[in-house]
Amino acid sequence: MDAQLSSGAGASLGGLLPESAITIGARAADWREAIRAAGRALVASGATSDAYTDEMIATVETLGAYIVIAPGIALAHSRPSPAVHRAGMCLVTLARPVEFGHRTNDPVSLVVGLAAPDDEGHVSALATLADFLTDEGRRAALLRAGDPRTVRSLIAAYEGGAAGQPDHAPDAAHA
Amino acid sequence: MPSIDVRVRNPSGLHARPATTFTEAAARFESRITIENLDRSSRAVDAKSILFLLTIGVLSGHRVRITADGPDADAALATLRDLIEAGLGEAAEA
Repeated sequence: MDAQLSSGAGASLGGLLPESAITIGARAADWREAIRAAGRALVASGATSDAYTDEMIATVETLGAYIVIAPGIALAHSRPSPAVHRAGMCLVTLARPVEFGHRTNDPVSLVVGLAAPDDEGHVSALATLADFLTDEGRRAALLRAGDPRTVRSLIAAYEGGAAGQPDHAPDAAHA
Repeated sequence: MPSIDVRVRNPSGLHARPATTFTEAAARFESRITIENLDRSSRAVDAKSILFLLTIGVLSGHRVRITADGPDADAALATLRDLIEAGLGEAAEA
């Protein structure tokens, strides 16, 4: 197995993140509302049902703020469950940052949501996403992105253009 | 530099709570500590960072190599091996 974690269908970020799953400037008064915004984006893209949103919130209630994995960035997710229809990601930037209760990485201005139907796909998608986020320049560019298309092109650049041919192509009709 | 190879046994591998438990334990040592996933031929990444730990995608059953460099390296490795072998605080599932 190679270092790019290519196992599993979940490894391509571009394929997992259609424009319908990207929300720029969402309003959230607290971390629950921030995760709800991420949940809505996952539902809008067809990846999950509403129950998964509640599961993501329950994960934070149970595990604490560990999901704030980098300064300003929360990774909302829960275990594989029946509420996950297919692997998917969403990305939500917040109009105003919110506190999650993390010692060093608060406040959060970007919530990335992740859903996967099985453990292998879940961990692979997490790994690819985490790798994208390790670069400070990429993180800063994500936070600055003013529209979904910019987010998609950042990811496409990271993936060497592969994200230009998404598997599901839900946005192909966009002007 | 001392290093150990150990198999991750807890059900969810190194993410979620177990990953947090691991990075917090690593962070208590002064030594520079890295971890690589031998089953993915991953890079050796900072074991004190949850973000970097997630990049190496450790599932249950994977073997990892932990390397420590510093005054408390041996104690760090012993502690981290014990933690992983004890299941990182995660109850074993059927």
